[in-house]
Amino acid sequence: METNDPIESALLWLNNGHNVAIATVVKTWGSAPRKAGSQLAIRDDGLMVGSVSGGCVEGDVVSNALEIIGKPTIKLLQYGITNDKAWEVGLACGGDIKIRIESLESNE
Amino acid sequence: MNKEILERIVSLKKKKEPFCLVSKVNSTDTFVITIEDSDKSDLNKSINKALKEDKLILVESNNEDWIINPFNPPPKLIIVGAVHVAQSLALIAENLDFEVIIVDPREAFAEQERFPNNKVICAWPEDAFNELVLDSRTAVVTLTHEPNLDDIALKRSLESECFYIGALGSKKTHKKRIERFLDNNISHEDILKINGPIGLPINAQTPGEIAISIMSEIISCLRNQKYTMEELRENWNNR
Repeated sequence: METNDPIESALLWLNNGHNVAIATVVKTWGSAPRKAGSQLAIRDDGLMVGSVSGGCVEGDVVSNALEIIGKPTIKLLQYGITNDKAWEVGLACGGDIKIRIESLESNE
Repeated sequence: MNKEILERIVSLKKKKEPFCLVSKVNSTDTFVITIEDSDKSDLNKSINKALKEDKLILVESNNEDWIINPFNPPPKLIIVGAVHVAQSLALIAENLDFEVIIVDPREAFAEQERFPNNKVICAWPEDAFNELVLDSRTAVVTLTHEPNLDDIALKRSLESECFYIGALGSKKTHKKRIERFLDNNISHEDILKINGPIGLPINAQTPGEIAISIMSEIISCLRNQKYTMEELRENWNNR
C-alpha cells in the first residue's frame, strides 16, 4: 500500500476513479481504543486504511459505509456495551464510541 | 467533503501547517480552516483550543453541532549524537510520525547514509540549535556521552518550550552532569527537567531496546502533559 494515511488514501482512490467514504470517531466515553478524531478511509470495494477502534468495529463500519458510498451523505453510528448489537460488534474494552461516516462526492 | 478538500488537507500536511477539519455532525458540510482563516470564523476560539490541546471538540454554534478535528504538524525529535542508538531511535520515531533531525559535528557519524530518511545536520550543537525551532511539540535527546556536545544542547533545550529532554548516560554520568550544571548556575528545578538516565526502566540492553525505552518515555511525556517530567519519573520508579 502506498500510504497508511486515511486522507491521502482517500484522495488517491478518488483519483483512481473509486468511490470513497471517511469514518471519524467523534466522541468516546470510558476507555475507547482510539481517541476522537481518528479516521478510517473506506474504498467502494471494501478496502480500508486507518482505524476507528482496535479492530473491534471496523468490519461493521465498512458495511455501513458501503451502503451509502457513492452518494454524498452522512451516517452516524454508535457502539458500546449499551448497543443492542453489543454481542456482534461491541467494544471488548467496555467503552462507547460515536462514529460519523461521510460518503464523498465522486470524482466525476 | 470533496476532492478539493482532500487535496487541501494533503498540501497543508506537507507544508506542516496546523489546521482543523470542521464538519457539521448531521450533514456533509466540511471545511478546512487554518489558524489564519480562523479569525474570520465564528468557531475561532474552539479551533484554537482544539489545536492547542490536540484534541477533537464538539461545539454548538448557530443551532448546529460542529465537529472540530485538529491536525497539528508531526511532533519533532532532535537527536544529538548520530550514534548507533540514534539509528534505531530515528526508525522508531519515524514510524510514529515524528519529524526526526540528527545533529552531530563528527563527520564519521553524521553520514546521511546512516540516516536515509532524516535531516542530518553536521555541525556543533550550538550552531545547529540556532537554526532549529524548539517548540512545545519538540523532544530533544542527547546521546553522545561527550559533555562538550551534550551539555550545550541540554542547556539550550532547558531555555526552550520543548516537552521532553533526555540525556543518555549512567547514574554516575548523570550525577557528574548535575554537578557541572550546578557549577554553571543552572537551577535544581531546571536540572530536574532532564530525564537522566534516559528512558523507561525496562533493563534495555541493545541499541534497539534502548531506543524503545527512550521512545516510550517521550510518548509518555507527550501524552501526559499535565504532569511534570519529574512526576512521571517518580511514578515509573515506584512501579
